Amino acid sequence: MDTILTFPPRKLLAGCAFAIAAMLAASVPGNEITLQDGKLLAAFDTNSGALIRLENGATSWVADQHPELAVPFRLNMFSPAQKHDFVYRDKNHPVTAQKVSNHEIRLQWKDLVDEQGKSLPIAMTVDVTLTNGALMFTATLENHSPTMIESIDYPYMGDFDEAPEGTPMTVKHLWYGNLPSEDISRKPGVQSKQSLFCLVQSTNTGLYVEMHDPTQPYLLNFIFDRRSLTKSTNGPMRTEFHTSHVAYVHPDSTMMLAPVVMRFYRGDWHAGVDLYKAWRAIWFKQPHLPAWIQDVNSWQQLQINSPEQDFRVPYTNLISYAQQCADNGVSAIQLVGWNHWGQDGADPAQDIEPGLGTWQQLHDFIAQSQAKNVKVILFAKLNWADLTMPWYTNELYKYQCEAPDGKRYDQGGYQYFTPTQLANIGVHRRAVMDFCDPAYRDVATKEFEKILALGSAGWLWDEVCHHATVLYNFAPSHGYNPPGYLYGGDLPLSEQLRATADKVSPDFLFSGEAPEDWLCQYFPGSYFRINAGSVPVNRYIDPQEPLVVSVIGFDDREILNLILMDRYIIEYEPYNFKGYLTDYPLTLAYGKKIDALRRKYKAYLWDAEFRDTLGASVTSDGSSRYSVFITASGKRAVIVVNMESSKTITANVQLPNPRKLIVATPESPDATSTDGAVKIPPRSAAVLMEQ
Amino acid sequence: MASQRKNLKRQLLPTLWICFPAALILGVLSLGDMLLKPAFAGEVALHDDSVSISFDSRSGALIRFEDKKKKWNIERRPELGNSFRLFAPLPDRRWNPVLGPKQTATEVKKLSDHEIRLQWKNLVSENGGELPLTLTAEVTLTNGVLRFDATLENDSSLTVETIDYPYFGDFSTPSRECTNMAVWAAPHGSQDGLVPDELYPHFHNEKGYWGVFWPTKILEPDRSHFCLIQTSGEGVHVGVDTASSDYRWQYVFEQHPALMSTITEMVPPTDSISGVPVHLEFRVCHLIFQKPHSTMKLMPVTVQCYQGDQHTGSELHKP
Repeated sequence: MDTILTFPPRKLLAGCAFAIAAMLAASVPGNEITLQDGKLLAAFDTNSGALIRLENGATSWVADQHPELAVPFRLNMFSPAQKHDFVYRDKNHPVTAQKVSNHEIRLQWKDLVDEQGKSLPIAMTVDVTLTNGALMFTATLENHSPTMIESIDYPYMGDFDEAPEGTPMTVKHLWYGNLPSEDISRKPGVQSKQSLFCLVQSTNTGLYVEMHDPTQPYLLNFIFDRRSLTKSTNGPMRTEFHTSHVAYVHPDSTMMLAPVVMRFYRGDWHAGVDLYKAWRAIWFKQPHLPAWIQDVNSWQQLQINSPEQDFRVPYTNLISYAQQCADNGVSAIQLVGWNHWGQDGADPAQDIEPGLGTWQQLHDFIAQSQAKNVKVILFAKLNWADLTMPWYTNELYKYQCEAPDGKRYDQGGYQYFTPTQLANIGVHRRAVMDFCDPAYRDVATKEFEKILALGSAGWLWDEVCHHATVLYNFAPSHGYNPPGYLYGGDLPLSEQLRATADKVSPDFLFSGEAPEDWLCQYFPGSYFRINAGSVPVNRYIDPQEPLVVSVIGFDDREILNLILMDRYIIEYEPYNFKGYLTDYPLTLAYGKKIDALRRKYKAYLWDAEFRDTLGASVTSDGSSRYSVFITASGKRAVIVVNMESSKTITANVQLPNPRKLIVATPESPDATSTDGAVKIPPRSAAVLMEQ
Repeated sequence: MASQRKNLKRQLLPTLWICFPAALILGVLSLGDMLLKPAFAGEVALHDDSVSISFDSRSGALIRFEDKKKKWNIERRPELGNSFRLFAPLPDRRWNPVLGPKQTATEVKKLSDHEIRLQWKNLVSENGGELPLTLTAEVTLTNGVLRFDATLENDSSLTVETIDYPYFGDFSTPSRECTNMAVWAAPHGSQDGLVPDELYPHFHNEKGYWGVFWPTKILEPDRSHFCLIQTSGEGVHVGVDTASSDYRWQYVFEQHPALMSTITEMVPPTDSISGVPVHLEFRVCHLIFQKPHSTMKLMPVTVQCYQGDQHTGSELHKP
């Protein structure tokens, strides 16, 4: 294990480029075997086994169209001498290609040869199936060599340049409550730790690519790589696309890789995400939600201390904040910095901070607040170990993630308030804890029990969505054969914490900072920040998921309107979550009107299915956005937001086969009839509902 | 103005009583919080044909600064004036600021037509009581150039990590209708390639929201040895005399109390919002890490108004 090194990406790319060029010049295409149905055609070269053509049956899109550019696969080996070797399917060792049935092909490569010409006792067998337009690649690797296989690039598309009608292509994936998008020419990279799928989106069609295993067995990279900058015969300009399985296949072992699924779709990102939703419905375990979070609700986030020991709000003074929440109909306080050394200090310890008061005082505040129907959600982090704390020095170092060379991975910490820290001096840096280590999971669970003991209605795990830059731990003695994939430890730890909480109360709410969708099985509450360009993809995936969005501005109508439009939960954060609700009365007043409107028309605006922009069209004489909801009885609502800062707009809402329409706004909640044309003042929203 | 303050105080007192802890810390950090300040005693001023600048004779706060040629009231509202801030962490608690507006100046004296001396002694810190610290500042005005010199005598057993000086509590646009005020900096000290960063009417927070109260920008010296606060046809050049530089400094901007909206990043276009003053703080932060029982002279800071664009302003920089 200690012989493994991470290969520098630039060298890896340079090595790849050379090897591919050599192979392309020598490759001789053979015959084709194909899988085909009405939606997709996939053709493989019988000599190399490479995927040489991928056609969308519904459109003319040929995603992979030049056989001479095809690459069957690539392995990245570790040698004991710590040198990397790439292994491509060698032309002298042809594939065994067999059409097993009309919808299945089996490919097998044996006795691979590395780039130095050395034969390796490694075999790769791939079953490719085509079912109703879904092309699935399932590979098994038999590694009888003494060398670790670090990664397997498969399936591999050597020429991914041509979009239908020559239109540009973007790559989209789930991340942080959003659907980031990047042009394919910019070599976007998508990682399964963030999103189990990516969409290659063209104007009105796309390719959906999925890691068909939601358990995070290892990292899968979706890689789009630009090859050659100028056109030439031997190395034409093109984009390669492959999925890279960072699987670490041990010597003398066999591993079945996570299947990769490809499907074409017609439409925009909604159609691509629909494919994910259909698969998700099979494996996603819906978590239990307490009743209060299912109703219309809003939160306040409040930070009371930092590692700079400001001790801003003693526990005994917290009740005044809770009282303001109660007075203003705010349902919960996300309490930050309550623990020892404040926010981002002393992690993962979940002890109280003596500078703020006693355990009993905090416990009593939580009970008093919740008696006022203001739930307390305790903010915490279990990912890190504060390097400045004795606990790290004495114990937690045992569970820290290490690089292949045995060096500790660090997380940089966060800066607070003082000029010193804002200059990045004296920041509490942290070691990254190994969630794959069962012993650390027990440590984390003990700390979590301290949160449960305080009696709060839930917790919010900040930074639950990442492990800093760390992907794998290579340190030995962590209870498994390394390396361990950190994101693979997320689900076991979450399951362990959930079981612990269930002993106290199944209603104890798990929420986190933008947990990945697969992690939402345990963390149904998701807290994040949005901007004007954010895509409400998580809301589209799950219309009822508690998605909490921060509101900071002192007259923040813009973000509140988006929260209404996308059925997010308001989280009030005056002074960057360091003030009282009443510090920004304009924002608070408008937020209350929005929640009142949602309570009044709950069937339309809260309990209904969110369709984003599908099912209606809206035109206006200014900047506007809209969303569509469908109630359980099939009635539709359209929320139109005027994004103009000073101009009243007229918006025309068109619904297919509309019923009688009424319109209401946060400021005029009593609905009046409308023909679908509405005037909306600047920075305002209107809700049109079918009767 | 005094009656306005009194009314404001009457309105806010009940809220403050409820909100005491948060108000305390906001007050600690927000040097614009008038309620915590003493009343003004009088002004001590310097002026020439180009600029005028005034200091409160009791607190030593910088309360007025005007570009006379363009009639630009740069430091406009005296009640938002400020003097300095420093941090002297205690052995068992890091949070221990010393806030200028809470100190009484022992000397605010006009030494000549172009020089004022200010002095604060036995500074009272927020959590460590009175500390044997003496800050002596000299402000000179020569041909339109203001120069801020300061010396800190630290007779305490604490390290003074940072000091903010000079400190403008209400760095104003020429008017609220101003459509563009930006800070321009020249990366790596170059006079070429000046880069703007908008201050008004939009302000983008550039520090982690978790660790600041207000939208904040901090220009590091490796980005620029000087900065220009530029509006249409006029600007202010701020430079640090780095000839004796042996520590790091920063130009710091804080937009109080918040933005209108995080979507638009618009600064409220009014003098106050919800009863809270809207103001931009600007200060030079010296990261001095001054040892106990020592005396340190801060790097002088120069401030000069100019007419023209940023290129005119950058020509004032003398490396």
